[in-house]
Amino acid sequence: MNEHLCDRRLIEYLHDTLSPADRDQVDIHLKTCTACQHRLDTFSATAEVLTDVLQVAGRQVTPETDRSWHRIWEHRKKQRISPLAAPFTGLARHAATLGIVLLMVAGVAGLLHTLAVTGPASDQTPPTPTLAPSAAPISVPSPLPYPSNNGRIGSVSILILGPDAEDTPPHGVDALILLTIDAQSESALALWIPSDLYVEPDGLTPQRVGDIVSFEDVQTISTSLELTRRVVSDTLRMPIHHTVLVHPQAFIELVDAIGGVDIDVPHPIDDRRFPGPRGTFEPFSISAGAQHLDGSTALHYARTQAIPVSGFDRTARQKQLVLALGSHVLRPGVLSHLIAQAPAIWRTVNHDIVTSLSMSEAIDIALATASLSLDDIDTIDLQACCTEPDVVSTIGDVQRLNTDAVRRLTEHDMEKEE
Amino acid sequence: MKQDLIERALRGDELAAQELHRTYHPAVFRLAYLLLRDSADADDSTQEAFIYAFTHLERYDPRRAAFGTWLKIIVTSRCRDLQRRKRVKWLSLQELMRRGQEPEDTTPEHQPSSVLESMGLQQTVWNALNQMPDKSRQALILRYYGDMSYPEMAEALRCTVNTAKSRVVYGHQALARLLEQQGISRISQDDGQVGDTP
Repeated sequence: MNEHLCDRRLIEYLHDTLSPADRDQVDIHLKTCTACQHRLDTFSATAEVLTDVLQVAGRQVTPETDRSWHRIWEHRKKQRISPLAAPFTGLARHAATLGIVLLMVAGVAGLLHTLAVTGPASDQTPPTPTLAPSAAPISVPSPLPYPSNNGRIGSVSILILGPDAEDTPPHGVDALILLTIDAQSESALALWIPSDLYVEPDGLTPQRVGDIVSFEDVQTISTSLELTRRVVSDTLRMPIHHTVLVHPQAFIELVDAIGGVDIDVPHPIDDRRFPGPRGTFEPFSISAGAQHLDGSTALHYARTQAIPVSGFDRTARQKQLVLALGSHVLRPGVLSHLIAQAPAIWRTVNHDIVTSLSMSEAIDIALATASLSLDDIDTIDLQACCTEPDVVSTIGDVQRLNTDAVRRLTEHDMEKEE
Repeated sequence: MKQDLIERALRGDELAAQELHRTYHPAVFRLAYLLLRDSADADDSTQEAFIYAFTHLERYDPRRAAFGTWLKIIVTSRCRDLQRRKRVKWLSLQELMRRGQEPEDTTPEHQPSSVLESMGLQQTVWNALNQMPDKSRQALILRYYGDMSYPEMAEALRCTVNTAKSRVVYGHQALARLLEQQGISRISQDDGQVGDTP
């Protein structure tokens, strides 16, 4: 062993995490290499100093143990008097989780849909930058086979599609979001796919991805959704397990089903140019202060492009709304109502959601994502990073995928911090 | 004794739960404080961790970790959640690329404590620690203050064991670079003091 030992090996040696054979090798090397012995001594001394420093720093704060216990005790007392403190069992638990996942998937999808239809809020015209050569790899949940071992969900990818909201029946899909939920790392990624992404389906003419879904009848929708799933999966080279087609009406129905949502509107909104059907306008206004919103108003609140005050844009409102919905659903009274109403809710939204998810798969996802906060969802706009505008004579304007940029996206390298 | 307390707490014995809390709260709170560098946030995270632990006490497996370590794993997770909530989460890729990596916390409010101020090398190390990227800093804290094994760190940080090891190595390397910028070429084992950069 002539070469010097790397830092990692020395630190593993210091921490005694090497195999006996590796440890012996390091021992032999250290006997003859003073440079490595010197570095090992430095790591060891640094570790000692670090331990001392952290001990001293930790002692600078005084834990208020009694006050902390009092707060915990108050919390536990409330849990005990709540009729929902008893653990859910069997069907009731499944019904509850099913209800929550329906709200999660459909609610988030609905909001993402509205955001996608009208574009990013803070930046009305998203640019298409080139990928900087020095860009660091982005950590994203790595797509894994579904389901994973032990019957538990590992990572699941769901393609959420939003049909053209202004036309009935819709002409196509103008919002596609690939939602990847990684249960292990309790994170999720919403990958925004432009509807004019150029794709070449096997056996079909090249087209925009948003034009694949056909709304002629139920059977056609299902078939074309499956085709879209396959094409997007092949194009991005990412596994996609399920599709969910969400009409905005589903979001309205879900919010109404839980009795509306309470929002504290920080600034009044008066949007005279809120888009209506067929190019018309449907003015929307709302006063500042505490408001109880029904489904339709909540959707308007999420979709309006008015920005009365800097920072209070559509993204901020949608996030506020999603979090308010989340906390509303988890209230004891609402949750019990939801449990009772889960079958009815399923029937209601069933008309406006077309999905390949079965009830049991929805429950699996619900169980796996029980601790996933909506705040844990990162969003990446594919058009902003990985496509280039182009014109195809037979189609018109399209976005062509930069496969190298996509590959970088999927490189799951959490070790690069430098 | 501790296992007895845990079993009694599992049966709903509030006094046993309080005793567990009294025993472990200081260490758990201090770890949260070092991770977050804010006592109010540390207080909130610690409370959340204990509420979670007492609500899911049946999930504790003494074969996997000591009870105190289990609590530290939970509080680390809560601290990370809190940090994530405080960050702007709805990032575009552009923003991510502009950052290039996770944002470093170089805010000036993490000022040295009065005791550390009088301790020369320790003060310099503390300052350097606070200039490091969060992931590496937290890994060093869990290893050298939390006394966690790599598998325990991996569970707390929700990463692989290899990644946990890498973060500790990066932490050492980053610390060495930062100290060198302060004129400290290396920390000597002989006297626990420093060698000056020539």
